[in-house]
Amino acid sequence: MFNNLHGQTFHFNGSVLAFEALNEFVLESVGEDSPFAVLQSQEDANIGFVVASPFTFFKDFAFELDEHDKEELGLTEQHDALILGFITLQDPFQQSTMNLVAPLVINISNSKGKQIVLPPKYEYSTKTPLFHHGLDKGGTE
Amino acid sequence: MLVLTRKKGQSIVINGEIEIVIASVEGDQVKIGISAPESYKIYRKEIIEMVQQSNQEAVVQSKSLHNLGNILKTRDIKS
Repeated sequence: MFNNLHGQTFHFNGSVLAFEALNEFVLESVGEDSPFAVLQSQEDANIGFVVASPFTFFKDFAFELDEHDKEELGLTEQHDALILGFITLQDPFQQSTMNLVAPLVINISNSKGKQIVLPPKYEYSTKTPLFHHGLDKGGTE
Repeated sequence: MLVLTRKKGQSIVINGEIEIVIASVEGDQVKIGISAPESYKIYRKEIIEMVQQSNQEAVVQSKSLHNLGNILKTRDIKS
């Protein structure tokens, strides 16, 4: 799914909570048909994050970017915004979860990215199960 | 850390642009009002800690990515 962005470097400028020393991440696509990618730190080879678009798994997921964040990212066009969520892998894989409280917002036109912690009015969880949940009403089991 | 004692209704001003007011005190709960420029993000600390912890739990090491690649490739959203 992220083949067209494979190998691109994004600048997170220390905005990933608990990883303020890390700025540059390369997006590595897992495969054309896969909804997953990996954000690999360029400053610490031991640190990478599995990511996916939250909208792939959660059709009702939505939030508003505030003006300050839009300005900081230089975002002027909706289509320049790429939203990703950090996935916490579990064993078995089917129990893996996504952090919907603090999505990553990337401006693909200038490669700037930021982890945004959503305000409390959004009642999302840091551990939302990817599979078998109620957030994609109408899906088949 | 600066520690100040305030009564209900009293305020603290930071840098001339942030105001913190004690709105009410009921038992062990204190209601705090905060005015700050829009660009300032204000969060309950436990939310920040929750995200920090979640980020830490989400880290994968590149050595395990090779196996990961195989698992992730064969998964689709209906799994």
